[in-house]
Amino acid sequence: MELKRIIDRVYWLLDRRRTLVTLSAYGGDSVYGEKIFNLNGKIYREWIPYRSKFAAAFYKGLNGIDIKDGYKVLYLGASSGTTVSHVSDIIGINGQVYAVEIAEEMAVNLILLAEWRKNIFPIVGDARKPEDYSGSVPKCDLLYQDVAQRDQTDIFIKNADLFLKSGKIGVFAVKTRSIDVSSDPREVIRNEVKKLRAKFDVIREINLYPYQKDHSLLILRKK
Amino acid sequence: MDNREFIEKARKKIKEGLSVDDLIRKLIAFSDSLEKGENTIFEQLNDLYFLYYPEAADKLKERDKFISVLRESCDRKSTSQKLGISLESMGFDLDDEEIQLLSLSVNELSNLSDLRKVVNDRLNDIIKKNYPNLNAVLGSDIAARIIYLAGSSHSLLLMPSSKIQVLGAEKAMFAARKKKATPKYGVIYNHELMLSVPDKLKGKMAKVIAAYTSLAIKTDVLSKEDKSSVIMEKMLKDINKVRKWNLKE
Repeated sequence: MELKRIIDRVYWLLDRRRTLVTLSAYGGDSVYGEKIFNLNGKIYREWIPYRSKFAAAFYKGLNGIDIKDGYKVLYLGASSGTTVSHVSDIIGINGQVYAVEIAEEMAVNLILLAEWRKNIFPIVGDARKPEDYSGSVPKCDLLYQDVAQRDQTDIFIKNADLFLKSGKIGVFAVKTRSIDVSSDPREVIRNEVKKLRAKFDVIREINLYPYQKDHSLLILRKK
Repeated sequence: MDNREFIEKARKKIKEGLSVDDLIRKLIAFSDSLEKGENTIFEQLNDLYFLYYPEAADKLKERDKFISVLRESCDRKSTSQKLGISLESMGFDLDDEEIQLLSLSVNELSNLSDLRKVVNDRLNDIIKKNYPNLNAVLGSDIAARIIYLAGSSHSLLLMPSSKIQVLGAEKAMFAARKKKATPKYGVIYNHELMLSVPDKLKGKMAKVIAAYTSLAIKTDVLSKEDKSSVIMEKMLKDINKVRKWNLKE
């Protein structure tokens, strides 16, 4: 087995098939049942594309993104912390990921995760009301959003205005079926991109099929 | 920087966010799963018993009867006495071990059934204690289920009574978007008052019950007083109006 670097701390593990892995920042415990690999004394965690949209984007050809050690990340729609745990790996123990989740039962898992992954800062709150947590969250180097709501684009723009440094990257998982069930998905994406153009450069648009249904990931840079 | 402060804050918020509604939701889900499990196990056991004593299995197609007859003993002799049928059977002769296995299974089924009763009783107590007005209007079973369907008492409180009327009929409601008529009632259909009116008045009756459900949950959550006698008095007046409608036609 050999490793091929994509970005810092994210690798393809090349065996018979390629597997996406992150270099664990907090030991060898599995977070959500993913495989753990031990290579040359370092611990790597499998990043499953069916569980995480961010991972699916790498499988669909994303080969570089501005996220590295020590970054501050604002993560909206953290759920139980599956993807958050990998973001926490990437930014390392010097980074900070502020994870916002509104559903209490999901947030419980997130809090339990934060107890031993000290770079996760859990916030139980509504991403629609960034004012609620604006006092405690600093300006961030990356904004990741996966909330699957009808007004998800507005939520993204609102949070980016408040928290994202200009020139930095926003990662936006668009669920076309939450925005409009009846229209053509491509049409929906086009409309959302039009809204985003005023404040962002669209760097890439990645359709996550077959790993995630009806999802696209937009990589944006704040102007 | 330490994340301890964030964790403490989030923990506190979750603790504050939990309420008796969450307990109700979980207990209903538990009770539903228990019933589902009971039915599956009962079907399998009845099938197994059919192999052994088809004449009796044919008479024991109801779950409660099946349990009460077979709880003590599963062998042909006692069953034939209890049911008053011939001991002569065309079924396959099982060994003692297998009959023992059957008895054990029936006992487990009976335990499950008892457990569900305990869960439901507890659920009823919770509803009576926390939502006395809603309990008076709907009865505890439907009251619990309607809170479960709404998600929480707070979201039920915010619903218009027209939506409360069709809670539990989501499938028909979505079908209505295409061509069919909108449904007249959801879980409210199981209300005992619905039985007392003919079919063509059931829609009107559901409307009255939904309106008073809305009133009752508001009283429960906002004023936290037991005004069930006043509410019921008003409701019965309106119900009598609906009944009179029937006479007019």
